[in-house]
Amino acid sequence: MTAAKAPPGFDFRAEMTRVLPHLRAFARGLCGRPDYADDLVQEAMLKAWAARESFQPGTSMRSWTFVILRNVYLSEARRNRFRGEYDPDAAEKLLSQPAGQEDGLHMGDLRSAMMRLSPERREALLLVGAGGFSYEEAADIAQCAVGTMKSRVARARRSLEDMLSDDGQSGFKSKTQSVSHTEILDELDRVANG
Amino acid sequence: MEAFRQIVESQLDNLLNRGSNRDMSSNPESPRGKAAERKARAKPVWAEGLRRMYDEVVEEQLPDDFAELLKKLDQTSDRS
Repeated sequence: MTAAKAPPGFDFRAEMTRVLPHLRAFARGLCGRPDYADDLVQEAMLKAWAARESFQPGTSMRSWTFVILRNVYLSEARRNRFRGEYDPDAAEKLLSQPAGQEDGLHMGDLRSAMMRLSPERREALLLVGAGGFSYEEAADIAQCAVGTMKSRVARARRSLEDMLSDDGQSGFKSKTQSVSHTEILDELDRVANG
Repeated sequence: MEAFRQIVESQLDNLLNRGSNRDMSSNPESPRGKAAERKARAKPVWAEGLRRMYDEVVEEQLPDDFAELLKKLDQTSDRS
C-alpha cells in the first residue's frame, strides 16, 4: 500500500466505500435511471481512486466525490451517451414500485416531476432538499455562487409545487404563468452571469 | 448583480401572483396569500418524499459489482 502522505489511520478506501450509497442516490436522482446511475458511480470511483492523493483528509469525502460524480455525469451527458432526460420506460418501472405511505404523495409523480425540472434545478434540489447539503456546500459542489444555488432551489421548489399540487396527483398541468415567470428569471440569470 | 436579480425576482413574483403579497419568493416559510397557503400545504409532503427518494437508495444494499470494483482498486494500489 502506497497511500503516500495520508496520515496514519486514514483509510481512503474505507472513506470512499462509506459514501458510495450517497453517490448512488445522487447519481440516480440526476439521471433518473438506476442502471446508468451505477455506471456513473463506478466511473466516478475510478476517477476518485486515481486522484486519491489530492483528497485532503478531514474534509468532506461526500462533497469531494460528488464533484467528481457530477463531472462524470456532465461529460457523459455532453457526449450524448445518454441524455439526462425523462425516460418513459424507467419511469414506468419506478411507478410500479410501492408508493409511499398514507401521505397523499405518489413517489412516481415526484420522480417524474423531478425529471421534468431542468438539470440545474434538479441538481440543486437533490443536493439541498434530498442530500441535506447546506447552500454553501451545494454551491461548492455545483461550482456556482451561493445566491445562484439559492435561487435554483427556490425555483425548483416552485416548479415542483406547481406540478404536484395543481390538479391532484396525476397531472402535470404547467401553467403558462409559471413558465413565463421561469423564462424571465432564466434570462435574468444569463444577463447576471454572462 | 445578485441583489438586483433578487429584487426583480421578488417584484416579478408579486406581479405574477397578482397581489398575493408574498415578500421574498425564495422564502417559502412566509405563507401569505392563497398561492402561498397552497404551497405551504404542499411543501412538506414532497419535501419529505424527496428525502425518502434519496434515503431509499442510500439504504439499498450495494450491488456486487461495487465490491468487485473495490477489490480491483486494491490490486492496482498493491502493484504501485
